[in-house]
Amino acid sequence: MNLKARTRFWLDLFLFISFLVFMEPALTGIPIHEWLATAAILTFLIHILTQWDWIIAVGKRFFQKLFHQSRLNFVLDLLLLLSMTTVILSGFLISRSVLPALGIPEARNFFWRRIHDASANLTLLIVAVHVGLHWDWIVNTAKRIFGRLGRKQNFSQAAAKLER
Amino acid sequence: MFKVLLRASILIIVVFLTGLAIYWLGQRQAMASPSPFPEGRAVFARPEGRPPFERFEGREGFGERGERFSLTRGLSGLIGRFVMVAIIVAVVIGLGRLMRLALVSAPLPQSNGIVVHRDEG
Repeated sequence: MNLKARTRFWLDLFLFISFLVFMEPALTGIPIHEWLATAAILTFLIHILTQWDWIIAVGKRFFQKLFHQSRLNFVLDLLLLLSMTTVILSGFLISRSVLPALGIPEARNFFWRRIHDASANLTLLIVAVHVGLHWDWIVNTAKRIFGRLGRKQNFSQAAAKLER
Repeated sequence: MFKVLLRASILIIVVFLTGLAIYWLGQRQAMASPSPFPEGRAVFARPEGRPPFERFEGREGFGERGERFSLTRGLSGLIGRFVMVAIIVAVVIGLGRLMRLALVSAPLPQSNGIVVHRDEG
């Protein structure tokens, strides 16, 4: 199994779990919610960068004959990018910790607050469909990672028995 | 390395421009619909002749209760969202399997007298 797939698996798992945690500000409180979400933007960008070749390949052939699931994934990923950008933007616009810490005064705006909530819920829905469409890859990669770990453990147990 | 930096720059520019477009569209809407509470907080009028509402002292802004740290509320919300995601994922997987099944059992195309055989292996 190549390093790229394994790294991608852990990165995506981290992104998914952190997204669920960020969706619940009551779990962390607002300051941690905002600072961690700001840090997670980097993970989101890395997630897109790891798929760059696929994005370019499908983007080039989007209007040509293309396997239907790739087209569906592409459209869904575009929607995800849009909704995620909206969440990030509206999050900054209603920020109570990050922007004030940078010297920008807190702006309470109900419109952007509503947009933040709605786009976060939409993003959650799209993320769930995204996970569902990539379920086979997730299961196969997990099997390969944990299968390898299991084999390594069995091997070290057998080696320990032999030493005894 | 240069390639990765270039790709990252393109991506950041795309996200930035998308954000700018959303901001431009949203700000027009936001200006059209001013906040119902000018100070950003709901103002509760104290009823005449009644003792002051102590629990309103140091009150929170509109919609802030749900954001205050609470482990129980936070965990229950997290579990709720996880269950919601699990249900959607299960539905998508189920639909995907159904569509695959429908594709497999559909009659194979036959053109110019050439019969296509399905590989059963």
